[in-house]
Amino acid sequence: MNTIIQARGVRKQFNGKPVLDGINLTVPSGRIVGLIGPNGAGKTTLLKGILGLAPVQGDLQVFGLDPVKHRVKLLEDVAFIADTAILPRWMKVQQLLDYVEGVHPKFNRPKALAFLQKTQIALHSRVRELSKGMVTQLHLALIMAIDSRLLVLDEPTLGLDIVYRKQFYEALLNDYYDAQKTIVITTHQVEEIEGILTDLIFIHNGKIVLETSMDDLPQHFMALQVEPPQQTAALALGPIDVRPMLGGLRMLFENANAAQLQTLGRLLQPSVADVFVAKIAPNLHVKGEFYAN
Amino acid sequence: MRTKLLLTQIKREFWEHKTGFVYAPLLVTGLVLLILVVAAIYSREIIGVFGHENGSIQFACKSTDNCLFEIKNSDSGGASGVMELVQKRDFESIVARDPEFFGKFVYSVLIVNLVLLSITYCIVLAIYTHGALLDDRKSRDILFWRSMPVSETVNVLVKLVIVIGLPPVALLLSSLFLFLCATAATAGVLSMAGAPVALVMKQIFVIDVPPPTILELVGMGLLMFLLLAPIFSYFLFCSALAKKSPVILSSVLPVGVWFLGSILADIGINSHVREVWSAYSDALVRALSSAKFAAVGWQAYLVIFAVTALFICGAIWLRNNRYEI
Repeated sequence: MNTIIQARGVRKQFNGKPVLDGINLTVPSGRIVGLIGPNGAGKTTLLKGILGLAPVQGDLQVFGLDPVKHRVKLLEDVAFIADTAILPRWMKVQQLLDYVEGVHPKFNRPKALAFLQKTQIALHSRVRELSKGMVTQLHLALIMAIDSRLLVLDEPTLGLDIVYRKQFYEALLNDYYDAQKTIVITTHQVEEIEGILTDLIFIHNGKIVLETSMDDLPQHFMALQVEPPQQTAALALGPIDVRPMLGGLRMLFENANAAQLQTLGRLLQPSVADVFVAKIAPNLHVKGEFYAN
Repeated sequence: MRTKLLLTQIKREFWEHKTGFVYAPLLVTGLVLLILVVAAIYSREIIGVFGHENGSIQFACKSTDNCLFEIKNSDSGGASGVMELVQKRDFESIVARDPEFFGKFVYSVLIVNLVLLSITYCIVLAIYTHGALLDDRKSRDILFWRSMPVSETVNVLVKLVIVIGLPPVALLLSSLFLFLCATAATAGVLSMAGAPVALVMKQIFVIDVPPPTILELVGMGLLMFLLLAPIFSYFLFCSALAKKSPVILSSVLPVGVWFLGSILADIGINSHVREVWSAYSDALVRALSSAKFAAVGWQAYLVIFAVTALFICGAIWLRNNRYEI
């Protein structure tokens, strides 16, 4: 399996404050990677580094190339969608198609037109005349018609309603993704992409706090619903997050013994959102008492 | 692919700046056409003022004697009668008095067009170059442009090509159009008055002092904008450098240099600022007044090329290194 992105000790500072703090990362081909982090965690800065839009310190390679030095060459194989507001509003749909066809060697115009035909978007419309959802569809049509090997999505569905969000990810999976392509997505709406991800990376304060495959996630993280009689014993096992629930506590454990936990309560598979919250903003206080050992 | 990319980038500039690049010159050409029509109508020699006199339309004169021809109602009793074109003076009499008249008329239209269009393009391109490398940085559009495999070198150079190449091309098209209009108008009016078309056409090209040909007019346009390239590339550089207002930046720097030169001159140090500016403006005037590339020495072209290259390289460097998205 080819390595698409490789980062070793990647750093970046703004006004002396570290935004990326020694990032180590490997993304192989054919994966759908969710890069999840709170606001200001460094996600977008890392993506910009990957796209060659901003220089970073350390060793960052995409397809084995330095993204800043070889930005133009890389962009023949890398497609990018930021949030929906980046298509020039003065352009007509037809002009956008002409433009991308003219500058991108891997753009397939019939494919873009076929996708647009399934939408309400007219070729003579200007981008500013389209709704936010339609602009996203248009951008997706352009991107899906590019035979890229890496697709970078930075909050692609921000501000869209649930229908468009669902359509976006369905189109991405059905019409774009195959085993040769790699997708890196950042989003706040973790629940929506949970089902399509193959890998998960949590980034916080410029550092990667979790890098795992979705297949391995259940082995690493377990949630336990504990009733009051077992709480002391369960807390002694060192949960990384404790939250009150009706009739007891819900605890989240990392790399714990499942058999041991099962004797103390009801064992559950935590969602990505649960793990994210536990890793980024763990709660170890319940009713004023601190439970961590 | 390279040619396709460059053409697409040029097309993008036209889409984005349609008002300045297409509509403004069209407006100017239309204005010159209007001037042509008005000039023709008010010319005593060719058409003159429309007016009614004894049931006829005086088509070509301010006084009846000067009329080249008039349109008369053959049925003098009513306005609905058949119009009859009556020649009042013959074509040869005008030619005899001023053989260059028709040629001068046609070419003066082209010169007026050249001057107006050049002024228009100076304004349009000054606005364009000040905003060309700033506007996209001020909007999120830049993420889209930067997601395409187009280098900043291509991006900036295309803008320079527009600055140098667009005015001559527009001048060519506009001059051709107006030449045809002026020729057709002259030939049409005179042939209506009975002058043989071939003779009229021939007469249009009769001028003792040969006027500039259309290609020479276009050459003048090219020469002018080539000589102005250092200024426009300086504006492009300011556009890439500015954080907020490239206009202030592009104004402050020359004024500052001028003042510094004056201060240094006051204390007896010659900074050569005035000499450099004088040499440049002299070269500009000399080249444009003679309309010849050879009017300026090759050393001047070398300096112009070097200064333009310096600013363009600076703009490319800024686009690649200074500003992050």
